[in-house]
Order: sequence, then C-alpha cells, then structure tokens
Amino acid sequence: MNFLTEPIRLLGAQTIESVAALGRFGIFLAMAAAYAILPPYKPRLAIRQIRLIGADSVFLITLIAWATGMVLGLQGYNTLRRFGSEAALGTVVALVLVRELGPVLAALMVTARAGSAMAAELGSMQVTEQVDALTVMAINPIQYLVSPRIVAALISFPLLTAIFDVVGIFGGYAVGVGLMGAPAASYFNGIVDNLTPHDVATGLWKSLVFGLTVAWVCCYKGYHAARMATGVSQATTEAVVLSSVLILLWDYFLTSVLL
Amino acid sequence: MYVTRTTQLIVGIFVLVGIAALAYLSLRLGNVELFSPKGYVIYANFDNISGLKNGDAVEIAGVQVGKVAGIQLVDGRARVAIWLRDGVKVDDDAVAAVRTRGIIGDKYLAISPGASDHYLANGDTLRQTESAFVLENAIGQFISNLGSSSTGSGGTKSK
Repeated sequence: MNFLTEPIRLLGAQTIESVAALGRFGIFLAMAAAYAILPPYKPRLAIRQIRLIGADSVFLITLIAWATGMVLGLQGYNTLRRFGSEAALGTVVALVLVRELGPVLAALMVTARAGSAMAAELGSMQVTEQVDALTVMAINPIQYLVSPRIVAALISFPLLTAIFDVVGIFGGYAVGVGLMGAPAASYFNGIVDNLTPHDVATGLWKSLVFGLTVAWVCCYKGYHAARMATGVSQATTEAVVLSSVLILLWDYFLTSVLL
Repeated sequence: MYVTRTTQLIVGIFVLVGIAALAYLSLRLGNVELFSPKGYVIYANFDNISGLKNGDAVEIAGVQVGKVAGIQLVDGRARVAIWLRDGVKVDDDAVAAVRTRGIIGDKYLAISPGASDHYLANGDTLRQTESAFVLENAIGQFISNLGSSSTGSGGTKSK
C-alpha cells in the first residue's frame, strides 16, 4: 500500500514546498517594502547603493547604448532603403529604443553588473554569518541590506534607461545619418512627430518593474544562500538567470498590458 | 553608515545626468506638455471621418493650429471636438475636411476659412464639413467604371 501512496505524498510535499517558497519570496518583498516606506529612513544606505547600481553603471550603459544605436541605425537604414523610406529611420530607432531595447537591455546589463554583485555580497554575508551578527546587534538585516537596494534600484533603473535611450538615439544618428547618409532633418523631426508621451511612459514603467524585479530576485537569492562552499556561486547564478528570464517575460506581459 | 563626499558627488552627477536625459526624452522628443497652452474647443459633425484619431493635427492653410481633442458618435454621425490655440480665428462659414497626408499617410483635419466676419467661440459648432475621401471606395468605383466601360467598348468593337 505504501508504494501506491508514496508518489502522491511526494507530489503533495513538492507542491507545499513550491507554494511555501513563493510565499517566502512574496513576504521578503513585502517586508523590504514596508521597511522602505515606514520611518526611520536610511537615505545614506540608499545613496551608497545608487552609486553601485546606478552611477557606476553609466559607462557600461553608455557603451552598450551607443553600440545598440549604431547597429539599429545600420540595420534600419539598410532595411528602410528597400522601401525608399530612409526618412523614417529616426522614428524606427527611437521607438525601438524607447519602448523595448532601452528598458530591457539596460536592465539586463545592470543585472549582469550590479545584480550579480548584490547576490554575491548578500550571499557571502549570509554564509559567513554576518547576517546573524546584524540580528544579534539588533539591526534588522532586511531593513539594513535589502530595502536600500530596492529603493536604489527603483531610482537608478529609470535614469539609466533614459540615458540609454538618448545615447542610443544619437548612436543611430551617427551611423544612419553620418555614415550611411539618411536625411538629417527628418531623423529628429520624425522622432518629435511620432514619439508620444505614452511611448516614453511605457518605457519608464517597464524600467521601474525591471528595477524592482532585479533588486528583489538578487537580494532574495543572496539572502537565502545555502551555507556551504557552493552556496554563494549557486545563489549568484540563480539570481542572474532568474532576473534575466523574468525581465524578458515581464517585458512581453507589460508590452501587452501597456500598449 | 558613512558616505564619502566623492560618493555623494558621483551620485549627484548621475542623478542630474539621468534627469537631463529623461527631460530631453520626454520634453524635447516626446512632446510632453508641462504647461498646456491656452486654447478653445469648437465642434464639427462629419458623415465619415475614416479613422481620424484623437490628437491628430488640425491645419489651416497647411499650418498646424490645433488638434483633434475628442471624437463621439452622435446620432450616427461623428462629432469631432477640435482644440484650437488662442489667437486662431475660425469664421462660422469655414469648412472642415478630413484629409490624408499622401496616399497612405496620417489623417488630419483641414479647415478652409470662409468669408464671414463672425468668428466661432468656445463650444460653437462648424456648420459645413466635408467627409473623408475613402481611397478604397474610390478604387472600387474606378474598377467598376473600368469594368463597365471595357465591356462597353468591347461590345462596340465586336460589332
């Protein structure tokens, strides 16, 4: 009789464990959000994180944005030339960047740069029992470690996305107009005519959601790193992979909702 | 937690650059209007506006003077609210027409001035309108004309 009920019992245990993990994940964010909203505030901690997540990523973001803009200018020009509509190049580059590539690529780059660092830092603090030490010192580890990172990500991501969009648009201009010879006046006129406030808002909403997702996932994975030799590396890998997958899935979902 | 002055400075620069990029994107490129310019609204009823949308341009003599501020269906006709900048005057026998830029371009509303001295005020309705030129109908008509004329001419030839 036991061999019949055992698989069912395992299925039940697995289900309960999945639901509990999802619940821990949700409670983790709820607590971090509560500490971020309720006083006392810790602006200094957040400022330090804005530097790590935002300011130190600017060079990378600028580089990637410029490269992305250039390839959009090149591809866009060569494709549009087939239809004789090179004049639409600016519109194409700006809409693609502002609506999709800006938020997504900025989020992926920050995940790779700052998200991995977040998971590794919290992970090694957990593994070396520094998190427990904070608790012993009556410092709430979520308030001290997680909330500032989430606040900093929510501030940094939209700003990085805006920088990405603007640099990318100029990158597209440099190649499309400067090198390939698309009409210069219609590049920016097309953008001004066709880029609506709604497009800009869509991109910014996406970047906010991505910022929350990345900080949440990376902090959670680091905070719950297993206390063994491979704990930190495993937590970092999971954090980066899960963040990247969630960014791309969220992107489709948000596009269909916000469009 | 001690935050060095360098960190504060770097974060300050980052936030300023980010906000500048955001402002450029939304104000310069995205046409977000912080201070909405003053204007007034007049109405016009059309039999067919053929896909004219909210926010499309309103032009007098090819100059953009306002935009479409709202479209409603009233008694089977399209009632279009037209927002015009202050200082733009439209007399009461002007004609509003839905036009298309190029063959497949955007729709816009063209107002041709009339000769009256009486100008429309906020909330007034334009009396004269001209419905959209629907390309599909015109092509359909052209093809049916072509068909009937070719059979006609074929008929005369065979005789």
